Parts: sequence; structure tokens; C-alpha cells
Amino acid sequence: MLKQIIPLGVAIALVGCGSSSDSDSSGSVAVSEISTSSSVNFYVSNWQSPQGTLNVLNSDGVVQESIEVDNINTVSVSVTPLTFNSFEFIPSDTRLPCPRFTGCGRTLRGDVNDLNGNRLIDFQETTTVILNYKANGFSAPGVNKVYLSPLSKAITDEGYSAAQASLAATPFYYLTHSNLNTNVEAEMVTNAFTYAAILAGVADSTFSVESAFNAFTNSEADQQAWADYSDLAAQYVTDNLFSDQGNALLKNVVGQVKQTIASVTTFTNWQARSTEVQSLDSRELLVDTRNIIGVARLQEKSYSDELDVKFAELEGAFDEETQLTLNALSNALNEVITNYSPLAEGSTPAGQYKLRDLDIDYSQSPFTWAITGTYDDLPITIDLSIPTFRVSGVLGNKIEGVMSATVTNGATVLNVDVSELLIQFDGIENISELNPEADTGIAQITTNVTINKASGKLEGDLSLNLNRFVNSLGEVSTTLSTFDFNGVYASDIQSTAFHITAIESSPFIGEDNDNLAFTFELDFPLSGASDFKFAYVGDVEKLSELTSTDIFVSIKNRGLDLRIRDVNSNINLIAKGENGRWLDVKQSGRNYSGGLYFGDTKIADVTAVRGIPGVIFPNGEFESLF
Amino acid sequence: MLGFSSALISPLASADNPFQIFTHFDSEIYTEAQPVQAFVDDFDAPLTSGDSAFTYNIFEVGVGYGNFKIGLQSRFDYVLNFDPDTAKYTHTEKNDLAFEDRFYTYYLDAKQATSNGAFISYDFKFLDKNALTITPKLSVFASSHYQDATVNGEIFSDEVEGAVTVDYNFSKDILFKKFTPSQKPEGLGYSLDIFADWQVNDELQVGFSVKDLLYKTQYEDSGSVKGQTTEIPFSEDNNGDIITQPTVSLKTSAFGNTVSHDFEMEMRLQAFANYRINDRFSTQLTLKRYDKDTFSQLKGRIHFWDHWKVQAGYEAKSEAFLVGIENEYFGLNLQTDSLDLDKAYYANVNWYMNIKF
Repeated sequence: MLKQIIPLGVAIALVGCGSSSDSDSSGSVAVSEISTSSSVNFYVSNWQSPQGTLNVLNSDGVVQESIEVDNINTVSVSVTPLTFNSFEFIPSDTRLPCPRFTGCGRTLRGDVNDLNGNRLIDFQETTTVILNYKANGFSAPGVNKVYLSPLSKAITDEGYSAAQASLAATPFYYLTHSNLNTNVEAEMVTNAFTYAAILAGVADSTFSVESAFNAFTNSEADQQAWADYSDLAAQYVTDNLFSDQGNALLKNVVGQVKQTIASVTTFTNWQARSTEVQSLDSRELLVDTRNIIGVARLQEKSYSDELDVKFAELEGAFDEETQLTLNALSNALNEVITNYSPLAEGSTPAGQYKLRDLDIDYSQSPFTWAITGTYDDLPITIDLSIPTFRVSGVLGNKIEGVMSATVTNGATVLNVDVSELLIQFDGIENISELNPEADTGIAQITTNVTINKASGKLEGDLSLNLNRFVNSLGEVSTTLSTFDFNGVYASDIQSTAFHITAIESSPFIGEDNDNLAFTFELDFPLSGASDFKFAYVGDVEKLSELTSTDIFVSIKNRGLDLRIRDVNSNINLIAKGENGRWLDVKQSGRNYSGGLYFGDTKIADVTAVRGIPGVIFPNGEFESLF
Repeated sequence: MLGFSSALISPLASADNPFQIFTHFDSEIYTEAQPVQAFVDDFDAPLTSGDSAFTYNIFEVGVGYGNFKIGLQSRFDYVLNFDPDTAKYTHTEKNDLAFEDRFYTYYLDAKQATSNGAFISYDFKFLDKNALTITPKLSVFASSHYQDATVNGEIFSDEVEGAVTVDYNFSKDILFKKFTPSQKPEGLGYSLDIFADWQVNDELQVGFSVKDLLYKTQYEDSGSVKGQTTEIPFSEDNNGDIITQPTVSLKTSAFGNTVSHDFEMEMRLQAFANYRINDRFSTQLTLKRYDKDTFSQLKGRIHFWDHWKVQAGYEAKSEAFLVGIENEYFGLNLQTDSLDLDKAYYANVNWYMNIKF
């Protein structure tokens, strides 16, 4: 079971089981000459004019170079390798258009930016928001890419390390030796945090990403601005997925983008960024890799039974029954609120109603609903009381109330025990040509839920986005577009923090949520790793398919991106560590090859000595991988 | 073996004629734990107790004038000391037998060198009738083939677990099969032997020799692997977090990081007493001390014609029988514990020729 949920088993198979070997390979393995040049490329979301001034600052914040650039997205700057630098982009044209396909809400009469005079800031009409861009990072040898956004500036100015928050070896805004997928993912995340900054600025002219971020990281009482910003960043993803104008590249990386946004916006353990001087041939990645393998081996040796049971429980806790109860609750709520409330077309009067197999007792002043029956064949009861009802075209309708609910699905029982409920509508009406009368938009439901399973319970904050849109047949359709469940799984044998997200990656195909991209982040102490963290994008069931797995693991606050591929017993493990170091191990039978790299520079060869894989450095030193 | 055949083939050979040409060859091999054949190949014979193995091989050709001798020399020597538990481990591993659930002592100390060079010796004569001869012999040689390895530690069962240190210098990497240097190392060395021979009276002759009293070769650009394996590569700190170290860490000569290495050999001691019973018979007792192994040998001779003799003997420890024929100009001796070479633990071939003018 350990091997099912943590594919480190493969890593162990890959680096372990050594014995005497009759390998005939000679000692004349070549290590490429070590070069130490670094360059930096940049990305700024295309809502911002790419022309402006690029400042390169050293780790003391002193400007080293100031360059006028025509296009920040095509410029490449040489920097001293192995140094920390900050990069600041000051656009010549500070204007930013509305980035949301459905527009950015109402404006005053006579607003010069309202070009068509409809008193709405439509998509691509200019807003009054101005953004600043800055990011920092460690310059690995080769090409580094910096993704500038208002959030990267806030994090940089505060001096935090964002790698752990990004659930990646490097911060979401700084890539070294990257591939196309990671580039696309970083672009999308950057777009999301920029998009959110524009929309939040439009909604509230006093909004600043820096102050929202500081309130969040300082755990201040009022974190509403950060919550709004976080929601808008997540909305970038659904906005693009649900629009035929959306970014076509997003679909391939939607799970990763969703997880990164969810993690960065909820991460609580922000630590100061290390500016420790790096040496080219440092072996820190080998230490990190060996620690992870050591932890896994430690579990296998002494604690495997206990861990098997824990993982089995966790797998069982996030099963389909759990998902169906959550679906039933959220869809039932959405349907009832949109049909039997002041929000409904023509403001439905109080009374008894029947919605398929649901009986609804709706009363007004105060607004209460007693809902009983079955939804999607699951027994359901909901008691809802809403003293406050904000109906606003600009800010979106907002419902705050108290809810108790129960959804039963076999042994799985979902409970909401007199919990605060928040339902927000985005207030944006997207007029569909196919169905101009349709009432569309996004409803966000936030509440605290407990899901009792046979062996334990999941308890945490649940946040759901429901998108009501016109499908290709001109019909109104409601889809669970995103899902965030952040809490703790508790049972007799464990207490494991989790953050699960899901996102509908192809909303236009089929009516059901049949293409949810799931992500999992688990924080649980293991023997030898009191701060073990594990993150994965994909279905729970597919975790056991070790042939093609990408996971993030972290212990001692040091993260590793592990990529494992097993094709016809040819195993390839790529471990990406901090600051652009990475290890590539290929195993074919008893032969091992690959290298230890820093950026684009190979600093050691992977080889095996008497069947034991390790790396050999140009000075002749050999160090086994485990 | 050089010493126990006849004084004739040693530099102690006395001659009436001042000028001579001589050659000799001696090859001796001895193994414990396994017969020679199995020791070299698959280690698949029944395991016997033991902790050493060696082979010494020398070929010399030279000229002598008076008390001087000079000549050319080729040597191949291999000396291995090991722990009996290591032999057991190797035997278990090579024959796919079941390992015991315990730590095995792993200790190997191996030296091997092939050299080609020249030697010079001089017979210093003492006492009445020159009855005592003391002969120092100095050899200088070049070598580009050698092994010098020490592996010491313990290994648990058949798992990759155990703490072992390795100190290995070589011209060709036969232990890891990975770090053979692209250029052969260049070694220059010397050795000093001392021979003493005393004709006590007409019947009794005693002798003593120290071979490789001094022996040192300095190899330049040599292959090298030094390092260790760790028994338990991880532990936990006070916070319960893991601390790891590599299971194997080595400093090797890969990528041209070759080293300079001094190679030394243990001296070999030998003493004999030769007693002439009468014109027809004589007997000789020989003791050899190689490192920690002592061999004692007794042989009897029949003398015939002029200076001809045949001899036969037995050596304890190696349990080997010896037969030979010798005269002033020629000799051949064979010694083994089994005529079936697959079962032999010991073998020695020795011949010489000596032409005097």
C-alpha cells in the first residue's frame, strides 16, 4: 500500500537492491565541461504592455542593470551564475484591460474607459488598475525563467521562500531548466494571480496585493481581501475553461494550476528565503533525495503495517461515495437557492415546493428552507436559515446564513452541523446568443462539513464553485466547476491534514462532472519525517499505477519534484530539487546512466559500482544514491 | 622454490671456474580454503579451513664472474590473506547457498605484482676455507601490473548492509571493474635479499635466507579506490527527523584522478640444515616462514655418478610430496599434494641450468 500511494517504492527499486555486478563498463565515463553561464528570460501576462524598463537588482537590492525593453517576454539577460537576483519590470504603458470574458462589472456614467457607453467595463475595456511586477530567485546555470506578477512582487518584497507554498522544488514564479508543461503551468498561474489583481482592483480601488498578502501571512483578523483575491485567482481557471475564448493551453495543466493556486493561497508556514551562497557541485540534492528514500525505507523496515493501514484509510476516505455526497449537497443547494429565493426569476413567493424528489418548505422574513427527500438518489435533509441577503449587481449577490445538512450514501454520511454558510454569485451576467434569457454565472458555496466514513472522518472547510452556463444546445446547465476541501482526516490511528481540490477540466463535454481533475496534498508526520508532505495531481486510484507518476514530496522543509516513468522495465527517475538542481537516473537492467545537474550543467555522472547506483564527480568521488 | 632445491641454483653457488652462465625458474602456488583450481575459478570445491594463499614465480638468467653475479629477472607474485569467515561468505555466495542470518567478517588483504628488472649479487666469503658465505642480492625492476587491496569490515547476510572499508590500488580494476586507468601506471622498485651459507664441517651445512628483506615499488598514475560502506545509512535526530549518509562513498581515480602509490611486500624467511650421511645418502631439513605460515620439509637424497643426486621429500602443512633430480649443471624438482591438479592445494616447479667455463 505504501508503494501504491507513494511511488517511492519505485525509487527504491531503482536505487536499491544492489549487489555485485559484472558490469564491463570502463571508468572512462565523460562529464561535460562545467560551464557557469546563466541567463534569465521573463514572462508577464499579456494584459500588460510588454514595453518598459527592466531593473536587475542584486541580493542587497542594489540595481545592477537597468534595461529599456521593447518586449519583456522576449528579452534575455545574462546574470552572474549562482547568485540571488531580483528583477523588476516597470511597464511604460500602465493601462490594463479587463481580463474577464464576462466583463468586470458596472461603472459610472461617463467613464472614459467605457468605450461603448453601456456602463459596464466589458472584456478588454481599460480598467483603472495599475500593477507592479517583481520577482527574485537564484540563478542556476543555463536558462532561468522568471514569471512576474503582483503576487511574486509581494512575496519577493517580504523575503519569503515560495517553493514549499508552490508544492514544487522552485517557486511558482521562478523556473530553471524547465520543460514546456512546467512553462505553461507557470504562465497560467501567473495569469491567474495577475487576473485576480486586476479584478480585485476593479471591485475595490483600494485593493493592494501586498497588503492582502501581508494580512494573510501575518494572520491578521481581516483576511477578506486575500480571500477575495484567492477566489478570483481560482476563477481565472474556470473562466478560461468555460469560455470558448479561453486559453487552449490551460487544459493540459489545469490540475497542476488549480493545485498551485490553492496551495499558495492557503499556505500558512511562510519562511524567510535562504540566500545562502551556492556552490556548483553542492551535493544538497543528493542529501534531499537520500532523505526521502531513507524515510521510505524506514517505513518499510519498521512501520509498514501501520502505514499500510493509514494509507488504506486515506484512499478509502476520498472515494467516490464521498465525492457523490459532496456533489449532492452542492447541487441541491444551488438548485434550491437559484429557484426558490429572492434570486429566482420573478422572486418566488414563500411556500411548499417540490423539485423532483425534494420537498422544499420555503419561508421568508427570515428566509428559511427545510429541504428533505432524495437528490441523485441520496437521502438528504437541509435546514437553511439566511438572515442577510445582499442583492448587488456590482458586487454580486451574497447570501450569509446558517445551515445544517445531512447527506447519506451508504456508510458515508455527510454532516453540516449548524455551520456558517456563504453563497456568493459573481454578479456577472453573460448573455448567451443561444439563449439570451438564460440566467448564468458562478455561485460559490463555502461551509464547514464533516464526512463520516466507516473508519474515520473528514472535517474541514469546503468551497465549491458552481458554474451556470448555456451549453452548446442552448440549454442552461449547472456544473461543479471547482472544489476545495481543506481539513483533517481523523481516525483512531491518524490525524492527517489534507487539501483536496478538483476542477472540471472539460465542462462542455457531457452534462455530468465526468472529467474532474483531482489534486491531493497530504501533511502527515512519518517516522523520520515529522513534517512529511506529499502532493499529487490525478485520480486516487491512479496513484497505484507507478508506470507514470509525478509527485511532490517534502521533508525538513525541502521539496522534491519526482517524476517516475517505467516503460518496459526501463525506469527513469527525475528528482528536481531546490535552486535548479536535478537528478536524472535511468535504469535498464543492471545498467544505470544519467546525471546530476545544476540547471543545464551536468556536475556528475550517474553510474553503478558493483550494482549500487550513485553519482561520480569529476574529482573521482563516488557517492551512492541511498 | 629457489631455496630448497640446491645451493647450486642460488647465488651462493661456488664454482671453480670464474665465469658462468646460469638460468633458473621457480614457480610455487599454495592455497587454503579451496584447491588451487577452484580458488582461481568458481570457489566451488568443499570449503576447508584457511586464511591465506600465495604464488611466487621467478625466472632469472645471468652471468657470474668470481663472486659477482648479474642478470635479468622476471617476477610474478601474489599474496592473499583473508578471514576464514570471508572464505565462507565467498563460498556461500558463489555457490548460491543459504546465507546465515548474521554478520560475516569481511577481510581481504591482497598484493600482486609483475615486474621485470636486473639484479646484482656478491658472495662475501668468511672463515677458514671460506666456509661461510654471505650474499646480498639487490634487484631493481620496473612494473606496470599490480594489485594492492585491503577490504575490511563486516557484511550482513546477503544484503547490501554492512560496514566495510576499502583501500585499493591497482593497475587494472578487478574489484569494481570500473576504474581502470586509461594509461598503465609506471612503477619503479627495488628489493634486497640476503643469503647465508655455512659449511660447518664435512657433513653438516646450514643456510639461511631472507627474501624481500626490503621491497618497495613506487607506482605513478595508479588507479585507486578508497572509501567505505556504512552499515546503517540513516538515523534520526532529536526531532525525529531523518539523517542520512551514503551507503557507499568512495574516492576513486576516475576521470584522471590517478595517484602515486608505494607498494611493499612481506619478507620470506627460510633456513635449512643439510647433513651428509655418507657418500651415497644425505638428508635435508628446511623451514620456510611466509608471513604467518610455516612450512617444514624433510627430504632424502641418493648421490650417484659424479655430483648426480635424486631426491624425495615431504612437506608438512602443504602435505606435498617432492621428487627431483639435480647435478652441478642441471636440476628439476616437482612438488605437489595431489597428482590430480583439480584437487591440489600446492604445486611447485623448479628447474635450473648452470654452464661454467
